[in-house]
Amino acid sequence: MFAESLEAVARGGRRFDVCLIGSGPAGITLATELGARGWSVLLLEAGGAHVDPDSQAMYEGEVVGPLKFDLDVGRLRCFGGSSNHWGGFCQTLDAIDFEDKVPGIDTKWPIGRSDLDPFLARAESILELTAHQPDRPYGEALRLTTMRYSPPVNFAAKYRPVLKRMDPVTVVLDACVVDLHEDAGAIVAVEACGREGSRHRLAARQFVLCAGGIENSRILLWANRKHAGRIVKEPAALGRYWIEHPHFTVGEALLEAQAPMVFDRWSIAWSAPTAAAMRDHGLLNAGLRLTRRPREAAREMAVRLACVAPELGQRVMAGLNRRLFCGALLRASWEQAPRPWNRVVLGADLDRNGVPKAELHWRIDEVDRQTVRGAALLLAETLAARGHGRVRLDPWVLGQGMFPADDEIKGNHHMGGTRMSVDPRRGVVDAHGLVHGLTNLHVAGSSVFPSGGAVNPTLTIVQLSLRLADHLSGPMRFSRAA
Amino acid sequence: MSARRIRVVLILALIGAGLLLHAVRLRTAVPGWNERAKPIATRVTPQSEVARRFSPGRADHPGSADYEALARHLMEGFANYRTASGERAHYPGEPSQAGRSADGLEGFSRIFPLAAAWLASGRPGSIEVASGRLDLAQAFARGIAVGTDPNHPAYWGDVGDYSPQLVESADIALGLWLAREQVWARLDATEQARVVAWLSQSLQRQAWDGNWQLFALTVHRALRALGADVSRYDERMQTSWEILRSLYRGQGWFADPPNGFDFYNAWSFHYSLYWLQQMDPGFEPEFIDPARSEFVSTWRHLLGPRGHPLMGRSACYRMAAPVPLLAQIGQPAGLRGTPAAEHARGEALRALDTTWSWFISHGALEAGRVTSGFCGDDPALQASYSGPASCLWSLRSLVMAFAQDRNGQLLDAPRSPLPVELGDFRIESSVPGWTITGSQALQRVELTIEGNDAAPEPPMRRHGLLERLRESIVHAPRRPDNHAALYGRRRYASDLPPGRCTP
Repeated sequence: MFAESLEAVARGGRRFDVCLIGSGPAGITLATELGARGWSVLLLEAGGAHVDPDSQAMYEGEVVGPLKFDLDVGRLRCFGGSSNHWGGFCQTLDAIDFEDKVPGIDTKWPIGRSDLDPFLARAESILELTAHQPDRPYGEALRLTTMRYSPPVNFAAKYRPVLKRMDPVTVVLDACVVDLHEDAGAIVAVEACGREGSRHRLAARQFVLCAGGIENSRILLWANRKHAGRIVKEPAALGRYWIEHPHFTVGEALLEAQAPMVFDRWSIAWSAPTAAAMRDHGLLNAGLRLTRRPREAAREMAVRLACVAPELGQRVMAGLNRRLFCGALLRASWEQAPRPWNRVVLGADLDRNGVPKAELHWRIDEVDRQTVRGAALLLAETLAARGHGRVRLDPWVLGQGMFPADDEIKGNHHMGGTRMSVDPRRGVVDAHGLVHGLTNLHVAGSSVFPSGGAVNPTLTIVQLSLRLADHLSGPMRFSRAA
Repeated sequence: MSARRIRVVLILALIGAGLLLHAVRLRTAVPGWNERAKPIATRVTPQSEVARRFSPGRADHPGSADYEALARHLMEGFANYRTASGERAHYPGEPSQAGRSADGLEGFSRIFPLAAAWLASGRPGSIEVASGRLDLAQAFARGIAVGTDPNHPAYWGDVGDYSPQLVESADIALGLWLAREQVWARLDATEQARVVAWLSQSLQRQAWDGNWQLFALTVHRALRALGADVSRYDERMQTSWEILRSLYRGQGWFADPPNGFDFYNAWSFHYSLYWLQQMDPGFEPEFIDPARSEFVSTWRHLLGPRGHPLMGRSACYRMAAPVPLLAQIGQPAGLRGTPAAEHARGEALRALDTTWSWFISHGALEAGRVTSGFCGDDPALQASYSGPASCLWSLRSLVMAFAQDRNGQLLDAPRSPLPVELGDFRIESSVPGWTITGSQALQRVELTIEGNDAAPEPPMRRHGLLERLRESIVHAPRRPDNHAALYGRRRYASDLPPGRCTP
């Protein structure tokens, strides 16, 4: 049943097998998986069927920190969630992304890549990904990576008809969860607010928060405040270790024809440091992207090069005329160091449902600069050593000045806040996404990432959701209602 | 070429050079570069009297009357340099890159805590100055009322990200809290609201991820203690605190990026943490108390009767070095009145006496102001962000002493000798990687930074003719970068002062 009214569902007094809060890639994946297994599923979406400015305004909030961005722009509050404007970029996390890489920076997951590998094929199918290409080594410290592209799959368009046909699944739009009710260590009901302000309780045996990288924290913070800490009993990590993938232009490059970079359909050639290089150089993971520039831009680069290296500049100019060189913009998106002070908090202003708006305390620091500088220098050194080109890095990368506030800054990859950890003091959920101290509230989506690697998160979100679906419906776990 | 033609060419060249110079200055000139204040000697409490009272050769130690004379001298200096509307003080000296307006604000804000501590200690509300009597509470209340009034032409300006106003707001807030009965209470409701609005801007602005986080925290706790509702900024302040806390490396030491370990631990971190606790007694006592205690156990060895082995930036804050020892007076509360506590108090006062005495005898005061070097004025040691009044942060040790003094009970208390006056020592502090050695016979303290190379020692670069010439062209500070000499040497010693120093 699709777009059932909140009032009607609440009036029925039904207790569902599972209530999923949020209909982005995580929520819809869980809904289709569990619905296909016969679970009665209640899928709640705070927004409507489509993007709507009025609903979107509920996502407004403030970023507290030197670099600003709008919290209501990078995510969408409607059926299908942020997949409605997703670009479709996909890569799997590297095996080292589940480990600690830099001393003192906690990037370790309580699971390994091998725990997610079994779900890769299904996730690839859901996201309709292009074929996987293995990384190719480039020198001692780098590897040339390949981005995989989803068409991109819009979960709303793809799964609306599927869910309509799926009898056990009930989808309710404009149902904004504003409270969680707990009894004896279990969530017994959620309280949802309709578009017009009416409030209704909805009961289920299992609950999964799939509301996104900011809302998952916000809902738990609010419920915990209202219920004097009975929802997340050890709240030390709640809302904290929030991470993004900082996105900045770091310089430009001139590449010779024999350089092994392959430019893909977006005119991007991808590279990243190896696991050994990350450990040796004290770097977190980083994605370097060389974006091919038009010939005029390349010519300008060659002219600038001629000022500092006249012979080389002349050679490049000649090469440009014979198409032996190409110019590229060097951009980077990298793994941000998880820090407890980067966090979602409840702001002083309330939304129209009376829930405090999110306030995101976020900043990038010297470890982040160390990561991007180290990775960019590895590329510059490798290109130069192999005679494949030259890189010019922007001064801020080398430590002269602040991160430029007018750059892209972030990738709209909202991660952390309800991170996984076996230790309740360092994480909110366990290795399966179950909130520590509760028996039936799970969290799905990128908010459970303890660290984010340097890859776009959607593929990992879907893998984790498939794993959670198997976990919830496994023979030793929970049977659906008779 | 005819003489006439040569003259025309020369005139055109001069005009061209003038236009070029003007164009350069349009880009670089600091506002008010040429509007420098002239030195005015203090007449009521002359410098000679202060020098006599703090002579290193005097048989006994300075007492409350001597410190009062020092404070009167400094406040008389403020009275001489303050503006007609009282919201700034333009001291003579080298301007900062922030410009005359911000430098003038520093001239007000950095002496205000001393005046506030003076008032809070129960001392007379007015002092004699050359122009008559200065009612301290009225003068500072008026200055604050004017400076925080956005409609007044002398408004201090909005607090911006990383701005001088953000820095100075902390001293304004601290002073208001210290003199809450004398200054804060004197402001009417409208003025108080404007002060809260101006200071609250600091709670919303960006500060560097280091000691700058202390400014907003100080403002927050002061406003809260004064009764303002600043709860909407509580979470931000928690984040500020966590960022600061992440700089803690143990044994009382903070690594302030990008400089790491230096004397800011004393006159910035432990100074501010002390006041945060005074304003909010529940503020992190489990962390701050043991951290300060551990820090003092090392720091006390650095201070001696012949100066201290200063390294790092802002050398002109030199007289604030005893701050951690003064903050430790009466701590922990359980030890008050015990011989150990009395010894610690005596040691703190001895550090205060010797520091002020040594530096006063080495050019620390000049025409009612604190000079801008280690001994006298020395632009080679003055960062480009430092202006004529920046070095009033040296008064932080006096602020702490006066705030704890009632009727001379503290400042007249018995002194205890400093470690270097008791015997030779060698102290290793593993966190900053410092080894401190003291020679009782020479009254000399040496600091060895174990991680630095023994040779070659980075030299101190002078602020010479070239820098003067560049400054005269661009009308902005062009001071030498002495970071390597101030941080990269292996050895610093009390008899090897940074920069120039007349013995």
